[in-house]
Amino acid sequence: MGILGRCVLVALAVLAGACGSGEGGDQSSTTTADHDHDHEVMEGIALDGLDHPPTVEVAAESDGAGNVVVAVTLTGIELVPADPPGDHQPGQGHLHISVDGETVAMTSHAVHYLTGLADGHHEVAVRLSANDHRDYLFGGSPIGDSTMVMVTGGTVPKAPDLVFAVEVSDGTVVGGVQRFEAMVGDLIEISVTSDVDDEVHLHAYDMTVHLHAGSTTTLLVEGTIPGVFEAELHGAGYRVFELQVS
Amino acid sequence: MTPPAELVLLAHGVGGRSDLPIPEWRAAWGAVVILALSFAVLGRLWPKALLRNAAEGRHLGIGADRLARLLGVVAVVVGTVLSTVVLSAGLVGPDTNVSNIAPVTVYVIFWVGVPLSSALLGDIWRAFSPWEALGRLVEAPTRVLRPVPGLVGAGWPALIPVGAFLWLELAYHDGARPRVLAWAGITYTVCLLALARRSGWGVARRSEGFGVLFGAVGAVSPLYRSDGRLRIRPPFSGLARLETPAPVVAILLMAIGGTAFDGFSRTRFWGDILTGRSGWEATIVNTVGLAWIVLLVGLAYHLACRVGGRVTGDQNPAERFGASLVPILLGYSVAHYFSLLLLEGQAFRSLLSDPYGLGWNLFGTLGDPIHWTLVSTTVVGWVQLVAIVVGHMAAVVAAHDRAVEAWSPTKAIRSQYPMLVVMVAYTMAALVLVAG
Repeated sequence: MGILGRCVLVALAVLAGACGSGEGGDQSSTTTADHDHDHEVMEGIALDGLDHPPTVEVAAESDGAGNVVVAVTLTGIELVPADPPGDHQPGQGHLHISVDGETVAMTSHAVHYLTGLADGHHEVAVRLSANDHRDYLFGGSPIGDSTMVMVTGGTVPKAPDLVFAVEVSDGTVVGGVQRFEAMVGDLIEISVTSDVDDEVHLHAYDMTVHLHAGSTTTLLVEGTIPGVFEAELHGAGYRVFELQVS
Repeated sequence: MTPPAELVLLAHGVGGRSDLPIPEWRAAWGAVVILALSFAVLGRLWPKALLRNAAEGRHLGIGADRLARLLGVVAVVVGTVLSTVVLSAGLVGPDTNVSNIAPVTVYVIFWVGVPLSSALLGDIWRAFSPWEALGRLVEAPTRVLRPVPGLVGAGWPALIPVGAFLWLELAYHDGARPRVLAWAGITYTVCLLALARRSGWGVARRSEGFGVLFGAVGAVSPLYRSDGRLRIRPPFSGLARLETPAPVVAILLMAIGGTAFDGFSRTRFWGDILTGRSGWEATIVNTVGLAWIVLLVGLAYHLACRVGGRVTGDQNPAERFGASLVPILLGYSVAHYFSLLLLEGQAFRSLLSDPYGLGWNLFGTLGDPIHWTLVSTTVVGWVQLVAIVVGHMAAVVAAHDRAVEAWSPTKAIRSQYPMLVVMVAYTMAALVLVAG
């Protein structure tokens, strides 16, 4: 979640950069990431020298039952399986497909099915990636395309009824262990921010989510079981919060 | 991401659902009024000891005796097989408290299920106990049994297994690890059998703390066996015949203190103290807390006995009134662990199908999900309240019956005032703690 989140941030930063410098075609840089995330720097492969760089066009269509068919039209690239990652071969690559900024698939097929989407508008984006998962760049930005799709007949999106937040810092829970109170049937969102890597386990609901140092992880709990439940840090062993469902 | 479908036992050997607060202060005051009223009524309507005669009960019949004998044999087999399986699974099975059968069996079935069943059915642990069977087996009748030091003979070593168990369950940070439990079980078995070999099972049995504890709890049961006959008597009347020498009193107080600490450790107060502590640091803090609560419970009891004893000139009031601790312990246990047994206990069913984590499905129950809504929190809240109040009322009655057995009603009542104060304190503490 955290790494994914940061990838998305990076991707957004890239997109923002691309929008901001529309005609910045003379940029010769091969890096795409902002320098706040040095360890996340993603080297791209610039294809600016090619006369006919690969092109990607994406179309997405909802089937009315919560699923979306993603069809990608490509030129100038041969799709090869992404797993296991291979060495970069010019002219070869695969597709990274993301929905609403979260990568959901890496595929070597030009047609991909997305299932189980919630009703509403979603952004489907496709980027062209080399065998070693580096992005192909042209003019300093990744080669790709995106489109919006309206999904119907899928799951009904719900906004959480209650939102709670807790922070783990310096080996302790900031402000002490709190009890979050909710009613049966509530959709409860609890975000946990941590300065260390660990796991949060919520008893009885049996939810385990990973925490990444310096980022926030969100638990989405449907309050189906009444009672008071402890959430513990697996690694550290102590309680981070209690959830009371009544 | 898919959450794991199994139950996770963590931290205290047990984990999962704790129950919703009942309106604690109102419940506590209600309980106090009930206790005081029953104390006053006892003084007027219970001038003579009644329980000892009532505890005689009546014979249920030849058929019942046969059935009891048959069930006894079944229990020996089940107890031996199950403990072997659980111990070996603890040693070689998956070493996670999630998928191993040992933690749930030890902390839920053995520690909660056995005493609660004993309260209903009598001293069943004597039939199920693998140590009982093994102890008799290793006892060498041809050898001269060597005597033991006085403290051992009196049964003081029985405090060690119970104390160690409470420490593993409530204080030690890795106490739910299958390997830890298995090695603890093996160590205990070896020590116990060595003692049985050396000095006979009759002596060693007094050191088998769990047997002593569960046997005492069994005294409240309406069923008991005497001379091979199954008899029935009013519930709780058996307390009148329960002898509680000093080590037994100590074990009962320890168990009450442990249960109280279990409740205490779930309060936010204790949670805040533990926040940021892990590993041995948490263990040490919990050990101090556990010892502190056990001492507090024990001191309160002994103080009441001492003050009461001053009225009567009784040399040993703590032992005289020890039996009245049993219904208190029972009330605490039901209040704290009733939902644990019914909810987390379901994991036992599932794990029994595949005790070694090899993918067997012996009874077709593998992977059965836990029905967390089997009992509602309202039911649990009421059971907690009733268990604590009834437990303490039974304790007041049992203590009163013992007192009027020895002294005139007036003197007896006067000697019981300090005890009433302690009962009230225990009750308030219990209700506040289950409310957490």
